[in-house]
Amino acid sequence: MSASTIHRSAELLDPEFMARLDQLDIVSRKIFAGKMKGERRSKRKGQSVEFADYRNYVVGDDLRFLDWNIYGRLERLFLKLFLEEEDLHVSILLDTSRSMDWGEPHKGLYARRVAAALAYIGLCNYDRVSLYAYADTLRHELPGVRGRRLMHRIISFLQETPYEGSNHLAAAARTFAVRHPQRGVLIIVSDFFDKGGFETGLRYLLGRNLDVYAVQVLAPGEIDPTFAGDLRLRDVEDADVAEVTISRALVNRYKQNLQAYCQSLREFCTRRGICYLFTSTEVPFDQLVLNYLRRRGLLR
Amino acid sequence: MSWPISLLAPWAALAAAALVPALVLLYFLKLKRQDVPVSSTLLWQRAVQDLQVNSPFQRLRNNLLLLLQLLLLLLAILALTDPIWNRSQSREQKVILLLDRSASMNSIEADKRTRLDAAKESAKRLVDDMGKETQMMVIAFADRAHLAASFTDDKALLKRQIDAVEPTDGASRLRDAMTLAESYSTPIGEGIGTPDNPIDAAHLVLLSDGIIADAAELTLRRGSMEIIHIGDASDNVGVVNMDVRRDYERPDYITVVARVRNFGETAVNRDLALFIDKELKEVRVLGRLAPGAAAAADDEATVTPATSDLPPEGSEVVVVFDNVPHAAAGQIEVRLSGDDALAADNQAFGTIEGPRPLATLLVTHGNFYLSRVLAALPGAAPTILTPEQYEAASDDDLLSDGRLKYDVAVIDGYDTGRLPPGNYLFFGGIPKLDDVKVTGTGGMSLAVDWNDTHPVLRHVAVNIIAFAEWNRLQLPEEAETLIEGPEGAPLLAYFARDRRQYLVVGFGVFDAKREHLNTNWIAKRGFPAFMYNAVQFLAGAVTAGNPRSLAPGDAASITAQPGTTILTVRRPSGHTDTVSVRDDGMGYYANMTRAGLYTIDGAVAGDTAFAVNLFDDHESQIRPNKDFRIGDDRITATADTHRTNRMLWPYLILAALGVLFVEWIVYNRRVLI
Repeated sequence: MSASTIHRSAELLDPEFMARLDQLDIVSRKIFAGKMKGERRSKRKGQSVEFADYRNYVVGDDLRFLDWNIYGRLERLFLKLFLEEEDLHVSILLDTSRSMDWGEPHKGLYARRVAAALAYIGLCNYDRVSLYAYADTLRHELPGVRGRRLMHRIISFLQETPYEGSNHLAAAARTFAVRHPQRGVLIIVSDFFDKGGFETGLRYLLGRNLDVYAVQVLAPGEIDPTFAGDLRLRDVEDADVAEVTISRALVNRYKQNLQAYCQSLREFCTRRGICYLFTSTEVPFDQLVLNYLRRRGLLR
Repeated sequence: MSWPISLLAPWAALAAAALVPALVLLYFLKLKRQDVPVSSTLLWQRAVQDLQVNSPFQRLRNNLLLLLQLLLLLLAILALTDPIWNRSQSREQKVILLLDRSASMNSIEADKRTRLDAAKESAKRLVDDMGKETQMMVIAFADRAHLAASFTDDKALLKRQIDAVEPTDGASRLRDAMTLAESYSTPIGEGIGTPDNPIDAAHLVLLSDGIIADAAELTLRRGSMEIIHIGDASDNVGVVNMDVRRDYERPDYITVVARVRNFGETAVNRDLALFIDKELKEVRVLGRLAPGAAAAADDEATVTPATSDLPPEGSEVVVVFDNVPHAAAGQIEVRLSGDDALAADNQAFGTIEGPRPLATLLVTHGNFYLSRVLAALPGAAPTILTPEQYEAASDDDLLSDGRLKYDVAVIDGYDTGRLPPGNYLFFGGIPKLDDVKVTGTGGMSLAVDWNDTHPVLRHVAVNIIAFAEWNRLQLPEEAETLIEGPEGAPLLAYFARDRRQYLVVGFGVFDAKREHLNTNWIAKRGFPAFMYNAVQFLAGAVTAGNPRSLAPGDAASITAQPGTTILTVRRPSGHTDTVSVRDDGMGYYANMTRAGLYTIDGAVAGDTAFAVNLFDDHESQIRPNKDFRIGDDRITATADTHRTNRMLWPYLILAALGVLFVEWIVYNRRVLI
């Protein structure tokens, strides 16, 4: 697959996939209607009715929010604080660096399907869904889509975004953080193979007080390499070359390193309240969304 | 101390070492890496770095295949240099191979090779294994020892000489070979044998089936000895003796007596065929011959040595072909049916001359009894000469074809030195030979012991013979005592030499003064029987002891026809040898190593053929003697695979194959990961 692979709509939107998305829709609505009732701030229930806390009145506060009943009893001014109602802003940060254009099953396609599914679920719930494609920086964006009927925009965005550049999360995250001060849910779908390190980028995002989810997508060929012989491994992103003679020891060492890398990513995320998800492109897509993501808490 | 491994072909290493850089070059040329795109080299670089950091030999491990190939090449080069492991180089610097080539070594083993071939192969292996400083000598022996190669370290020469050793049908006599070995391995010079300069005793390696007749009489005086046992077969049926004679009373008929013995461990059925002049005359069914030996036990110690003379019951038969009409001279052959391991004793040969009336000569001062007895025997009346006449008679009167023209000369009370080839019966006198003497006389006595199985004493009652005086005879070693007098003195003895046969009676018919009878024998019925036997025995045509039936290795003296200078001997194999005739009209032929019939062109009638027969129970008993002893010392047996110097190249090749296998595995692991 070339670096400028454009996924045909059939690949993302084949009937099977759409049927699954519909299933997801049902499932997600079940989720929202049942388990989640009363726990989620919803625009449709009216404005600012949920009491949160009191605090002492200071000069300049809006007098409308003084609690006069308490003043009557205690003759002291307290201000009622209500939870602010606002849109849930779901941002999906999709890695479209060339390293995603690799693997069998294809990593990029898998990541886009995850993004599409999550976006679809968001749209179904009237969340504001923004899509960002990043590589060495934020390359393409589709901000603020709301409503299920706009799903086609999401799909066409995912289809048309090319694979280009190398993975540089730090730069992309900084740009994202500067441009988007809103709070909300941020989902990063990437392989996290960032030679500059993933830590800086994630720190930028944490600084924005976002609810961050990191979904690491790897191909089976990366998890359990099937190479043999004397090889010149060429990095598809930066044409870096590693000359290796494949031996059992080397492969074992690679696997240990991969595990350690994923483990360090997981630890980094867990310590900072980022929810980390790992998936192989071998895991059936619907299984990931229906079971795995729910279990990991991404879907509530 | 010398390095225990030496290279026989070090130049090969130099030649082959050029391959090493070539291989390295090839390896680097070969290392064209396949270009593979990956999503990220991040983890691969780390893994490679990790491995390099963790293992100091990682760089080498990356090139494991190259290393294995280099190792393979080195092993191959090393194998090419033909290294040997000299285990005993310092111990045995002089090795003497004693190669048995006696009749029993012609036994054919299960692999269709003869024991001698197997022995030669073992010998050549020993040559291959010999160390750089070892010198080897090869002695082939049967009835005589033959120096095949004197001390040398030239392996090619040694092998050539071993290959050139020819089989014989001789008996095994180790004494000559031991003597030869000893004399060759003893250095000559001053100060040798002193503690400062000890004699470097040689190591003897005997390659034999252990059937050696005189082993018990020998001792190993110096050095060490080991035996490499050759052979396993034991099945053999052989003609162990044959006697051809013309019927005494009907000279147109001949009688052939053959003794056949089964030496094997199983009973066999055999027929015996009689051929005269290569024409089949008669076949006798021998029936079943019982095993001649107990089956070999596993425990070597219980194996009976093959020296027992008495054949087991039923294993031996005597076959008599009697009344076979044959009036002319002829060549007689008896042949056993069936195959066995040893072919040489499956047939026996004999020759017989044409019939002629027996002629006897009596040399006496007058002896009524002897002349009457001789006249009474079948054949012509005896010619009687006085000793004076005998000594004075011209050769023409006495000889024909260089031989006494009488079949038997009876010499009565008289010593003579005129002994042309012929047969002699002495009464009271002796032939004047160097080793025949009268050392004294004895008084009135009786015979003490006698061999009544001998043909001469058949139907003779010896116990009643008395005599007044007798001669103490000193006789040649080979003389056979037939009657023994007091103190073991021979009273009747037989010996044969140089185509002459002698029967010597130690007492005369008359006393020394020829006045009184000296013995009562002449009045006994046994006396004519004795004279009959003696004349028949001496004149009888071919017997085993007849000069014309020889043992392998014997020499034949052949009387040439007058005017002939070259005799042509045709061997049983078909090859011919020439023998030059000496001034006295005789030719001597000694190359009769194989059994069979040797025919001679240019010889007088009667000398035109010689039968050489194995007739040796000891050699026919071919079961290998695994408990071989020299004197009373048991000789250590060595397995055939014994190596003094171990050739290392097969192990190197094996190791190379192992490396190749490992390389294959490594290569496949890399591919299959």
